[in-house]
Amino acid sequence: MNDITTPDAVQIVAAALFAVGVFGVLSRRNLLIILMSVELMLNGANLSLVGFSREMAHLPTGAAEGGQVLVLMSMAVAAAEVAVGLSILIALFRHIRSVDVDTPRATALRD
Amino acid sequence: MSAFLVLLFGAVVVVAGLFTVTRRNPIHAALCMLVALAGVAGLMLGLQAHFLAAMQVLLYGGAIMVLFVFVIMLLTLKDDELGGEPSQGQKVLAALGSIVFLFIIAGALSARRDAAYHMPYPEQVVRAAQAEGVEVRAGATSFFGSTEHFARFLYTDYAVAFELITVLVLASAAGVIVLARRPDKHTLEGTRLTGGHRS
Repeated sequence: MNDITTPDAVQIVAAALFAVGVFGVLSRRNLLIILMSVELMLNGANLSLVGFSREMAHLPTGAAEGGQVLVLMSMAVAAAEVAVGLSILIALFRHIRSVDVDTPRATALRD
Repeated sequence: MSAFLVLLFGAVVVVAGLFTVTRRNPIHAALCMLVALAGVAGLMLGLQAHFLAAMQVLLYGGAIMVLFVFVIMLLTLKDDELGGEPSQGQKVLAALGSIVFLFIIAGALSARRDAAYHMPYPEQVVRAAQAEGVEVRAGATSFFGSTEHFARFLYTDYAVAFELITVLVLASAAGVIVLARRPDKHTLEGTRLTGGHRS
């Protein structure tokens, strides 16, 4: 445990959370779970920003505070994205009676 | 926050995240995601982002989770509506892809110089400045990451971004109304929100 610094540990955890989200998006067909995986990826990116912001906190440039403000902005974007994404999911469910994005009925919507 | 504590919290977050993406029942996945989000809030608390940790609990753990659970309960999906699972080979490839991503990040981290956290207590900074005869501005003793310190930047340097976020939220609210209403019904008396694409 002593050979890894705290900033690096934070970045590793953030990257692992992002990787879990990538795995979810690639390996699932349920649109609900895919949206949740996207949320996990956003959380990983937020955590990375908070970690870097903490590293800059001793500098008087205001860069660290900028990082934290960016995280708040990304949270607001995530909330808007989930609202729109879930309403798209409801619209899709009305059309094909399933939340599976890989059913023949869902893929037929592309044509 | 020590590296051990970060990795401990991180293990909770990553395991809860893995449960989230592997559960078949969406409610189980949502509850596992709640654990992961709470773990991230704990990590933020340890990284001097007190205001953001509160926002993480309120926005993610509150608003976004409620939206997810609301939609899951609204649809009450039966097993055949949940959809099939991808093939084993596709899952293995997905796992490989995400592991490769993780190794790229780890490689990038090993290349950078030793990063460390320096953070003198604000009282020490103020006392040192006063000893030098420097005038200390109001609010200089507010902790980094505290609500006061955060708001000082949010409403001065980043005021435009803050206002633009309100426009984004308004746009998404309008988008949700257009997307989620029944397309073949008049939702407001005598007015149509969109051209009747289904008529």
